[in-house]
Amino acid sequence: MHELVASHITFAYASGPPILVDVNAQVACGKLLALVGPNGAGKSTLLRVMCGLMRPQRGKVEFDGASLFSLSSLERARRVAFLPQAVNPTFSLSVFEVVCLGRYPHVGALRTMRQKDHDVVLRCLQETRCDALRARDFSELSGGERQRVLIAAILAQEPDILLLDEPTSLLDLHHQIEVFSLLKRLTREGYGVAVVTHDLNTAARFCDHMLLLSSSVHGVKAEGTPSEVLQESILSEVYETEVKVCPHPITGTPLVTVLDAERYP
Amino acid sequence: MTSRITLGRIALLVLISAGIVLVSLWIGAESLRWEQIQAEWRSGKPITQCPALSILINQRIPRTLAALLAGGTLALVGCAFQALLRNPLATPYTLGVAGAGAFGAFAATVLMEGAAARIGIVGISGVQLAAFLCALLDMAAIYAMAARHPRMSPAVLLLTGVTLGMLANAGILFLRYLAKPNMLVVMDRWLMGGVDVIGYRDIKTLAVGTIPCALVLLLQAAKLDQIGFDVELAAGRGINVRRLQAVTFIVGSLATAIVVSTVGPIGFVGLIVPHSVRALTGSRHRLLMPISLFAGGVFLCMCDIIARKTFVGETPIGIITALFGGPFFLYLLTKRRFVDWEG
Repeated sequence: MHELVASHITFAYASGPPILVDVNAQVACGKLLALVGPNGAGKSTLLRVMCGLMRPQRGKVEFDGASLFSLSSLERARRVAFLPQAVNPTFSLSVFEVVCLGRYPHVGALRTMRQKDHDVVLRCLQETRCDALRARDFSELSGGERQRVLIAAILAQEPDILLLDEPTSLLDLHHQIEVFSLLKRLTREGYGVAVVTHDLNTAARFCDHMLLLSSSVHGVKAEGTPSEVLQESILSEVYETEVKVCPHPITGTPLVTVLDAERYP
Repeated sequence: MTSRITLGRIALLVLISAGIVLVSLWIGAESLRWEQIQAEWRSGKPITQCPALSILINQRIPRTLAALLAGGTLALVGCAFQALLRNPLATPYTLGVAGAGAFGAFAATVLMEGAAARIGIVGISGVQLAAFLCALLDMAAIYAMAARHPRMSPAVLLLTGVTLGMLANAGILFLRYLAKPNMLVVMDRWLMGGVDVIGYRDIKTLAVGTIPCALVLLLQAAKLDQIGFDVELAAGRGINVRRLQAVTFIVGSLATAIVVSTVGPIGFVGLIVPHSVRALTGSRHRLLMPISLFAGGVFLCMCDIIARKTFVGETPIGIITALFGGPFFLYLLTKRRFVDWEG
C-alpha cells in the first residue's frame, strides 16, 4: 500500500508572498483525493510540490517514508506521475506515439522500446479505452479523447500515484463524468489519485477525500469527506459569495449552487 | 505523424545520396575523366604534375566533404532548435548566430583591409576567427538574458535572438556604408556562403568542431521528443528541462558558429531539411535527427553541384539553396500539414 505524504509544506515563489504555509496532504493508493478551492488558493502549487517539480522552502514530501527529493528524477517519475492542465504539443504525433512517450522514465534517453514497453503501452491504451484511437493524430482528437490518451500516457509511466491538474476543465458534461469515472476505476485498481478541480459537484460524487484550500489561510481551510467539507458556511466564506448546498436528488452527495446575490438577496 | 519510412525507402535514399556524392566529385568547371585519373594514379608522378588527380584530391573531395559536414550540421541543429524553441520557424540562425558571425567577418574585413584573410592563428584566418568570436558573443548574450528568468523560456530566447540578429544586420549595413567599393565585393561574396574555397585545413576545423556537437545533439533526441510534446509533462517524467535547454542551445549554437565561420551563412538548409524529413520519418527525434543530418549533407552537396554548373561560372551556394529549396518546400507545404500548431 503506497502513500505520498506532504507534511508541513511552506512554499513561496521567488520574491513573492507565501502561497502555502504549513500544509499537510496525503495521497494513498486506492483513494481519490480532490483538491478544491478558489483561484489562487495554491491547489496547483501544492500538486507540483507533491510531484517533486517544485521544492518547498520548508516541509517534506515522502513516498512510502522516503523523501521524494532523495530519489533520482526518473525513479520519482516511476512512482508519481503528473498531468499538467494544458498540454500543447508542438509537432504532430499519433496516439500510440504519445503513449510511448510516457515510457520515458523506464526507457531513458538512450535505450529503445522493448517488447515489454510495447506491452505496457498497449495495456494502458486498453485500460483507458483508447485502442481504437491508436493510429489517429493526437491533435485531431476531441477534448475528451485527448484527456483519455494523456491519462493513458501517464499510466505508461507505471506509477503508483497520479496527480492531475484540472483534467476536466475544458470538457463538456458528459466527458467530465467520463474522466472522473475512469479515475475512480483506476483508484479501485489500486492507484492513488489526486485531482485539482473547480467542479465541486462532480468531485463530491467521485472522490473519497477532499481538501479545500483558501488563500486567506495559505493552506487547508477544511478537510474530510465531501459532505464534511462542502458546507454552506465554509464555502460561503471561502468563495466570498452566497452558497447553497442541498443533497443530490439521485446520488445523495452534496450539490453546491451559488445564488446570484442581486436576484436572491 | 507516424513514421512512413521503410527499409526500401532508406535503401533508395542511400543510393540516390551516393549518386549525388559521386556526381559532386566528378562535375565542375573541369570535368574529370575516369581513364585520365587512373592513368595519372598509375604513373606514380608527384601530384603537382597530375592535373586531374590534383583537382579531385585538392578541390572536389574537400569541397564535397565541406558540403556534407556543413549541410548535415545545419539540418541537425534546425531539428534541435525547432524542438527547443517549440517553433516550426526556428532555424540554426534564429538565435542570431549567423548575423553575428557575418558581422564579425565584415568587421575583420573592414578593419584589417584584407590583411585579416592572411593573418591568423593555427591556420584559421582572421576573418573566420572574428566570425566565430562574434557568434560566441551572441550566444553568451542570449544565455545571460535567458538565465535571468527563473525558467528558460523559449519566447525569451526567440525574442533575444531575433533582436540580436537585427542588431547584427544593422551593424553589417553600417560597415558596408563605411567600406570602400572594392571591399564590398569581397564582403557580399562572404555573405552568400560557399564551399568552393575550402581546403583540408578548413575540413579539419569543420570536422573537429561539428562532429562532437552533432553527437551530443543526437544523444538528446529522446528528451527533445518530450519537451516538444509538453515542457511540464517532460519535467514530470524526470527530465531536467533547464539543463536540456542549456545543452541544446549551447551545443547547437556552437556548431552553427563553426559552420558559419567556415562556409558563411548558408541559408534555408536548417529550415527545409528538418521539415521535409519529418514528412518521411514522423516527429520522433531519434529517427528524424540522424536522417536530417544525412539528408542535410546530401542536400547541400546537390545544391553545390547546381551552383557549379547551372549558370556561367560559379553561383554562390547560398543563392542556390534558397532558389531551389524554396519552391520545393512550398510544394511540400501544399501537400501536407507539417506541424500541429496550436499554441
